[in-house]
Amino acid sequence: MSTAQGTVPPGPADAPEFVGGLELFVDVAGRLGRLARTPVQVALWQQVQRGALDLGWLIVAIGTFAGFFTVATVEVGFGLGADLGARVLQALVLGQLAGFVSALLLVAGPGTAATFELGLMRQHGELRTLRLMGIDPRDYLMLPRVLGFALSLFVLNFFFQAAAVLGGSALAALVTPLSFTQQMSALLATLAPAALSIAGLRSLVLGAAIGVLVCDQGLVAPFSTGRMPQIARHLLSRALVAVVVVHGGAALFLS
Amino acid sequence: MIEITELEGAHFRLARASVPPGELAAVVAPTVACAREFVDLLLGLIAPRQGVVRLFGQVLGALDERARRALRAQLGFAAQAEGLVGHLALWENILLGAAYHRGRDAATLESRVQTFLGWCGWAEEDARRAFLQKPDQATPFERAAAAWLRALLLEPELLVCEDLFAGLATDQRRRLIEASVAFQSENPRRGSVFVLVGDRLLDELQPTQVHYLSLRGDFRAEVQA
Repeated sequence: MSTAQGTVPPGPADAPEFVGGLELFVDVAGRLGRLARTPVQVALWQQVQRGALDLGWLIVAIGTFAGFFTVATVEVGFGLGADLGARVLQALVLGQLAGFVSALLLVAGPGTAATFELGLMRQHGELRTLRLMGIDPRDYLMLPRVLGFALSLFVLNFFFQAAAVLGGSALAALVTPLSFTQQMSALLATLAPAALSIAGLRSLVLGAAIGVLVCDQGLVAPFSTGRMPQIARHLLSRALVAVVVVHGGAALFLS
Repeated sequence: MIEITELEGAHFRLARASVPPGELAAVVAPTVACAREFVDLLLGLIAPRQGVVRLFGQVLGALDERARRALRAQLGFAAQAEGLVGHLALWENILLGAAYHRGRDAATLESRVQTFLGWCGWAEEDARRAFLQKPDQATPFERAAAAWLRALLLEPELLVCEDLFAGLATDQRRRLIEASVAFQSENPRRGSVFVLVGDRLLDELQPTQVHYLSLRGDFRAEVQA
């Protein structure tokens, strides 16, 4: 918007009305009822699509190779047998690596993109427009993102785990003496449903935490196009801390 | 619908204004910043330094944000610059308000959209093609018309337009003005407020009342107003 007086500086109506961190998380949790509105549902679906489905093939490929290398190394390379291979696959690949890789992929791609999108919306006065239309940006922007990132990480984690087990074992069966059935039997004998449930719950919590960090960086923290690299670094470092804290907490809970 | 008394913002003053149903009011702001601040004050996004704004009979300053948001959901707001959500296509922008507040979908709004397009003389085929674009790919007229359509699909009793005609050709302005008049004449309880930057479009708009915002400290403008 320009006039003879030049560009209009952002007024108070553009100022963020949001709180950050844990308060933001609690605020979002209290807004779940707004999911009944169609535009919020559409925004949620778009976020899940961008966050999980668009990365589906990549995470499946990474999961397959992670599973294959683990099985091949432990069972054949070290000659430690199918049982130990299954335990290592479960403890390391399904238990830890899936969550780490999925979270990092989510933050580096869709997370950074969503942060910039929110920041640019704020910079372009679009939050003001939403408020003037009687739409609370917390309902339309924050809720779908926090929930969308939670669901995205859950889906990515599941894709990685499924690919590691099925794809990894199938690849290993092609190039090692172990058959696919042998590997599956060994894995099913050691697979703990409780651990899988915890991994799923952990993904939801960690994904929501990443969503909160994205909203915090995009809507609350100072934003300008010149600060974008710094913002991306900040988001990544905070997300890494969240990954370690949530994984560490889940490991403590399981032990 | 609107009653303003001794309003003072950071940039302007407005002594008194009243917009009852059936009126098409123009508010002339000296700068874009004044126009923008006036709309923010009128719709309760920010608090005035002084003065009282009544919207639909309620004093905005006495309401909490949730109640003010509910009031804003009853009216239609259209602005050309920064008036649309950038990551949504024009068609998604057009449907946003009606879908969010009224739970309507594209199918139920179809006939109304056709009516509005007819009023503003926009060929439906051209419009549908334009609706697929994002706001930054659209022309000023397409952006203005999309914001205007979005506001009208709420079937509001009060239409507030902020600097809607900036950068539009005379014919394009005329089409939007005539369409706004047609919309208002459908229901005698409807009213409109067009916030303009400068008074050069008053002849084209032909409002039923005009209010001038005076720059704070500009006493000559205040006397003229």
